[in-house]
Amino acid sequence: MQVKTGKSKYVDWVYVALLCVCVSPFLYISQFNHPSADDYCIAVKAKEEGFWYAQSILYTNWSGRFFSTFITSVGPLYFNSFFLVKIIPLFLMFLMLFSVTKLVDELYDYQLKLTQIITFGLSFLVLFLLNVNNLPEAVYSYTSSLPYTLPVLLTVLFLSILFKKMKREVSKYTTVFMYFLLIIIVGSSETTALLMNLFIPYFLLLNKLKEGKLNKVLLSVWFTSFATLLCVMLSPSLIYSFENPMVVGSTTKELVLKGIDVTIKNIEEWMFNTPLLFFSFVMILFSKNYRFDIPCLKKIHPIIHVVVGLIFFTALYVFSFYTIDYDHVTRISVLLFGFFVVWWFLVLYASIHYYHEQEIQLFKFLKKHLFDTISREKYHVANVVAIGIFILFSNNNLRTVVGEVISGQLAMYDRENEIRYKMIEELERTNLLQFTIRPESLYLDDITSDKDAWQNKCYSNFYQLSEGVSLSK
Amino acid sequence: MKKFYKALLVIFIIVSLLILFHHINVKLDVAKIPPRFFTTQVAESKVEHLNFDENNSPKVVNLLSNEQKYSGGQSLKITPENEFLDLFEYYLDEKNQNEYLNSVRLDLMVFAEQQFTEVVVVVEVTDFTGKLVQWQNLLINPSVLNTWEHIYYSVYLNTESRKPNNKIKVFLWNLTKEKFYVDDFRVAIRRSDTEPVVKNALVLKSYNQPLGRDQIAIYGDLLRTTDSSNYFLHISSDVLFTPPFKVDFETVSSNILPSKINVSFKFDPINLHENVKFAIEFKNKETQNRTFYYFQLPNYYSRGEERCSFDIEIPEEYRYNGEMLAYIWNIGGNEFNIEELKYVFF
Repeated sequence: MQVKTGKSKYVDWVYVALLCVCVSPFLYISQFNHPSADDYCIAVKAKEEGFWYAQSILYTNWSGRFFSTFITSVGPLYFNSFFLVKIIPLFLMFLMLFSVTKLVDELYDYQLKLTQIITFGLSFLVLFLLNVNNLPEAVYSYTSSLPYTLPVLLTVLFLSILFKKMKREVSKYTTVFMYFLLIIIVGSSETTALLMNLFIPYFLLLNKLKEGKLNKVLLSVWFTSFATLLCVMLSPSLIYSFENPMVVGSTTKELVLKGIDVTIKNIEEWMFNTPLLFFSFVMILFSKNYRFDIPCLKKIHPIIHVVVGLIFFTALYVFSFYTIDYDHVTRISVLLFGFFVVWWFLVLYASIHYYHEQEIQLFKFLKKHLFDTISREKYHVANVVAIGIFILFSNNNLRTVVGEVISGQLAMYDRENEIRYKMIEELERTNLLQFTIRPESLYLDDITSDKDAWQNKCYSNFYQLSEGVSLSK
Repeated sequence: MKKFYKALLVIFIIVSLLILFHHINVKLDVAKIPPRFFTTQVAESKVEHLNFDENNSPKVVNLLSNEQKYSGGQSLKITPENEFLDLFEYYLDEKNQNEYLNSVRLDLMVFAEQQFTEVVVVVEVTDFTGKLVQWQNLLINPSVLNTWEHIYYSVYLNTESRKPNNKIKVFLWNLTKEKFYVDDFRVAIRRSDTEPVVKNALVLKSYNQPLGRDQIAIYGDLLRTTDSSNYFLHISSDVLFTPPFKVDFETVSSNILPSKINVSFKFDPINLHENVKFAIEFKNKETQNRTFYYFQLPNYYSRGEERCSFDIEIPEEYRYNGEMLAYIWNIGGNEFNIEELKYVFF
């Protein structure tokens, strides 16, 4: 099917507008965002110990993820800015749109039209926002969003540059920037560190099978990634974690079984309780007449990518059980959901490419009876209906956010936060009132009634109160 | 594509500026912070700790025993011969303006060998002439025998009790002539940084009647009238909270124990944009526990005047020694009238 003009173009923009409507509530509620207890703690650490000394302490005693430690230490509260706390979620959403469109543009060799690229980017953003299982951790609380969501976005950006570099010459500045991105991605969390060191060798192997020789670019990327991985894994804090795993009393076999269980459940959730499949149809529609070019994934049977991906995801969950307990696996799922969506589309297009090249009968049949006979308008209408049904009849973050905006819960949460700042800063009160509403879309954690709790100490130190703060009902 | 990225950057900057504008414009006036946020900070100003090992008063010397002790070497042995035993006396003085007397906290360890029911610790407040101002007996009723048990009470001081030169006296009254041991007796006078709610400030004479004009007058400037008998509240867009309407259940419960409240009024929107909430707050003055109820008033979809009514069960823990605050929270700066406001207690 050729790209039509006139009515088709108009329908494309309507579809883009619908996706923008889905994203806008998430942008709107950024204005009600406030720091969580974790945000105060990291800022206080950096202020009290001195910025660079704090990095050294955190690397030695807390975590080897040096970039996350750095970026959260230098977060908004380090500069006492509550405004920047509201801007970071916006920044992440725009960065997601930017990096995904960049990657898509690169994968399709700059042949797609603007509406198509925007549709890809917005679909990814909508999918992520609607279904990520903890919105505050994934987007609004910067102490968790910067270590977990940011590396996903930077990986997408990194892949777009890597694929570009593998296909053609790029400037030395772009190359340096690519290696810089790689170092900060690997340094963001143990999970991303492992992930990059699993997938890059996998790409390298596939490329070797296809080309018959090792790709120098991929090889140097892997070396960089591996060296950075060592910096993360050999930190004293991580070595301690392995010697004293958080999940005690479980054998390795039990942890692996648990990892498989968590992986399958999450993938089932991501596939069937999100509009992923519908977005996939749209993208197939857009892409079927264009050249889809991922250098590493060509001519490999898709089932291999699927199996390898499942093994990698399971391995990451098992690894995470050593450093965090089961209750905190949500954070890992936030990160892996982002990667899953990237992986899903790479595999999907690698599969299309494979079947297209192999001239498989099934693909020919689908092309003839589905893709070539149904108009784009009908596809869009089907997608709009499907997304509408999904939004109305399933639990998703959009419904939560809109509900909390309309009911005034977010305005009340915002107001109570402002009152709290006033009570502390102007009236120097230390006995504060707990929030009457803890909106699901923004609230992550808070101080407690115990003056000696770590959250309360961070709060008191941040505001330089002589007496510890506590919370009353 | 470059144009698209530029457009993306421009949109990001515009949205950020909008948020910056909102952020700068949030100017919260301290005076508009509702009273519920001013949680009382209580500090102990006078503490008497009797462990009966040293510095014992002559009144208890003959009662000291080493048969049972919780800490140290001795405890106080109360026998059937000791019906009254004075333990603590304190004369109230003028304190810092920012400090208000709040309560008397009692902690004691009791060792009993048999069950008893009518032994009490009495907190008594008398004025400078010796006239009784407040009297509260606290039952000592051990739940376990032959072991030390921690018993504690807080006695909230009413307005009259908090006056200077009053005397607070704590004594033990062994009414049924029991034998038991007492150790580590601790009395603390507590002061708070906010004035405790004044009792009897708003006396509801009959709880099944609508509020009278004198009671509704607490709303002051918000009060409007169309004629001499028909009052209503006018809430303008600059009013964030109405003054709280307070009810002290201790006063209420002297005659009838309220278990339920019905609030009803006519809601007449003039210029409605966002939410308005009717807030009911219950507070236990002893434990400082609070519970909030919010009722969403008709939103911008509503047209014209509406009658609102809702019932609230008063939670058990607030029926004694509790109070209620009711106020309207005009979150979005709306303009409306409230007519025929009634609080009916059942």
